[in-house]
Amino acid sequence: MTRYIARRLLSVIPLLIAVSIIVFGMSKALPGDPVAIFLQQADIANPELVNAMRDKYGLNDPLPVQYWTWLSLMFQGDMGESIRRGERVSDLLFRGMRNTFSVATASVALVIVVGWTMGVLSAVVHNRSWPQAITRFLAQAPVLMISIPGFAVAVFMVLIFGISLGWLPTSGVSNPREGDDVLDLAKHLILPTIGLALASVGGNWRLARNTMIEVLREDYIRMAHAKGLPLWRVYFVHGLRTTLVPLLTSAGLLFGSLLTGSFILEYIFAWPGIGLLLVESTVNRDVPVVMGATILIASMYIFLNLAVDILYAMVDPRVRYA
Amino acid sequence: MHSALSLNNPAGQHVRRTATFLRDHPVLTASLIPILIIIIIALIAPLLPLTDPNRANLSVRYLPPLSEAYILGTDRQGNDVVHPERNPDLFPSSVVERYEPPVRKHYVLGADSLGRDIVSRLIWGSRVSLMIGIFANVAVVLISVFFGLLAGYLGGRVDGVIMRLVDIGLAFPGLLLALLILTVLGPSVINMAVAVVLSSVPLNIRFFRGQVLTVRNAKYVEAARLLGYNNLRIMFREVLPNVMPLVITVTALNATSFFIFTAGFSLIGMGLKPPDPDWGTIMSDGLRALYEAPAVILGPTILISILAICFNIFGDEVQKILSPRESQL
Repeated sequence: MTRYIARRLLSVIPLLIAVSIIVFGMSKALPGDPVAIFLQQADIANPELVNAMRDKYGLNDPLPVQYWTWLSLMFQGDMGESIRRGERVSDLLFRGMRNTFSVATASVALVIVVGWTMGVLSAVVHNRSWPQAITRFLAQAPVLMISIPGFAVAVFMVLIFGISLGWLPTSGVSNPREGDDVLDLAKHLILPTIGLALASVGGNWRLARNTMIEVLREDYIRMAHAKGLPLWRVYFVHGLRTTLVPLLTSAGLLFGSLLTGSFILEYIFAWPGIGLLLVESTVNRDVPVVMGATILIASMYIFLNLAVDILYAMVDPRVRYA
Repeated sequence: MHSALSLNNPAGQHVRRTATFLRDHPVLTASLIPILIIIIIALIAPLLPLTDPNRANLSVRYLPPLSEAYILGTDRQGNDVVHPERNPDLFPSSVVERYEPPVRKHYVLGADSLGRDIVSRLIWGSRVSLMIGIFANVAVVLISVFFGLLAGYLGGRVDGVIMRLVDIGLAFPGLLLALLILTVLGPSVINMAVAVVLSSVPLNIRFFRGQVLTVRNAKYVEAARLLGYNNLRIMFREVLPNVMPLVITVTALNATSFFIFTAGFSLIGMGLKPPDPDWGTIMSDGLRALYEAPAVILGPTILISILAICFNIFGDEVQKILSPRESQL
């Protein structure tokens, strides 16, 4: 097992290097000289000054040198400064991650509370042969949830709850007049959370239902019935326990993928997470922020996949020799 | 119903068999109908009596749905001058040639921030989305099947190189790779298609490689090898036909995600260059006017949802037909 983990950890290194080269190459392939753009905004069009600034920021060095400087600075935690916002990139990333983290946590909670509960209940209903209409509905509802794109859900909700009914705020993390109020944050969280989580609620609902139906056909469940255990014990203690294994994996994966940010949804809700930061910086050609955010998201994603692989290998020894 | 003649006629038989198939799978048929309707409308768009989707007309800005305006006359360039009021005296300055009486013009879904007809923009926009979807699907399937076959069948060093590249592509989650590519290339229809293709190829290569691995050691492949066929022939004549059925499922699933991709990118302003319409740009226009004109964003959002649902159901049904045992639940 230790050897497997070591091998997987080592395999991450070339991947990270490749990602950093791609991101660096991208920043160089972008049209337009960042210094010239920056000076133009300040209404200074002086070629000598441009050249002096290029020298100052090392933009006249050969590309490998620039790459190396950038990489070593990044390892010291210095990702540079935002061209547009005049803030340190690391500060911007930290703030973005904090907001993405809160909406991701709320989404996973919603998936667990609604998705799992409905899934388990649908399986029980399926097993008890309730009226067909109910069973059918419980089987088909998650398919609908999975199918509608998240941003469409977001738009519908904004129009209904935000604009027609005026119940909930539709953008941002807080109301500036109310300050840092937890209740206010919770209100702002509701719509983005549902928009982000609905498809996964459907997915987990279906997964929970299908797994539980399979589990309830097992011999040990029949055994539990035969022992004369009360129904709730058979379903919610014996059955649920086995069902939870794939569900936990799915929730873990979901949390990881939500942490990497959904930029379309964050854009619609003006939710200042890592996704919105990336989109705004891309549109504004704020290269240092784009590079920092991309590197951060990609490395989080790589390590997440690594963690999942290692967990699988712990559970299933066959994976280790594949 | 069917005459003996149609039975002897292979084409008629084909039609009949298709009809029976569609009748036996009502859900599949139902999911196909909206998709086909949208495709047909997109194809015949030039024949429909639509106004120019890019023709701005600020006097009918954010006109609500189901309202009408009046063409008061034509201006110096020969364009129609449209005004919500019937009274030509309100808006006479640019009118060169007056219509008496003014012609009524219907705005079924209203007008957007520049007074452009939304119905016309939706229909013309669907052509862009469909073109990208079809092009991207064909390209992704061709590329991924090819490299999946190479990696899965040949194995060894070829497999190693291809899969390391795939790993790099997969290190960027979801839309991030597409966003990076679009950032470098700049917004346009072709670049969007390229970004969508490049960002979804890695996952598809991995999928097809896995499928090739499952048939690679089958008896008939072994037989072909013993007969002395070369690798190319085995790959394309023996292995490929056994992977092909999956292409349908993959295409249906990809179609959904490509629609969402392209619409999403146009929505955040990274997709098409204005004024060309696609569903995402109409949404992005509507997003800026949620309070004044909620109808603008509603049209494309509903259409995208319908298409996504239909493609998903279609994919599910095809999968059920292809592997009936797994989907009994």
